[in-house]
Amino acid sequence: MSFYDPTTAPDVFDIVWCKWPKRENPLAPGPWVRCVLVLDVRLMIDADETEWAAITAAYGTDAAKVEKADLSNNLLITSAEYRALGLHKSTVFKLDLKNRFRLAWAEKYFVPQSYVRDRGIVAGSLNATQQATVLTE
Amino acid sequence: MPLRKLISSPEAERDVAPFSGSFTASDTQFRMAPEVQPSKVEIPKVGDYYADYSPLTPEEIAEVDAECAELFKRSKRVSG
Repeated sequence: MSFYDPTTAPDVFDIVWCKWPKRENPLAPGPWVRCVLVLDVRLMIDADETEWAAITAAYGTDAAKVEKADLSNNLLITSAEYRALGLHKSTVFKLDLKNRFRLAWAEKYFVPQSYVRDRGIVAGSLNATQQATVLTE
Repeated sequence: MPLRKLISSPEAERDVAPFSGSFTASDTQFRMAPEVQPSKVEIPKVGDYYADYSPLTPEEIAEVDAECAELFKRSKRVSG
């Protein structure tokens, strides 16, 4: 597996783009990526002494596709906030355990954002208010 | 009070085609005309990839890549 350098791993509360799980749709125009909110980052070491970073994150969903009842206990990125986070629309990050996953910080699973210079792979970072919302849920 | 004329010049008046009294395009043709079609929804991109904001089920999220699952099994945590 082609790992990214663990020193380039995102911080907790960063938003990155993830290739997994893959969207299999023959009618779709191309490969797909999903925005995810990083909730935990851990340094790991493989049996061959290779160090790599493990990322725990939550998937983002178009806020328009989320039931209103589901908005209250989750992180809603509003229309006034999404651009600063490198997102394309209002987005909800569901914070329950069922919406979390763990993947290696590797090319196979994560792709660099391409629209903000000097930001590398990270698309954006939650502000203090948004971080507080995550911590209280 | 005389009605206000919208076309004042006699030349311009001659350029106006008389109303034919019929409409040839069918309702279907009208709806499919390019100028009345809704604009296509553009899918946002991240580099060469398309951004997917569709909801995921817990089952889809729990689906772990076998290579990654094996990697987690044989690796140890370094820092906490």
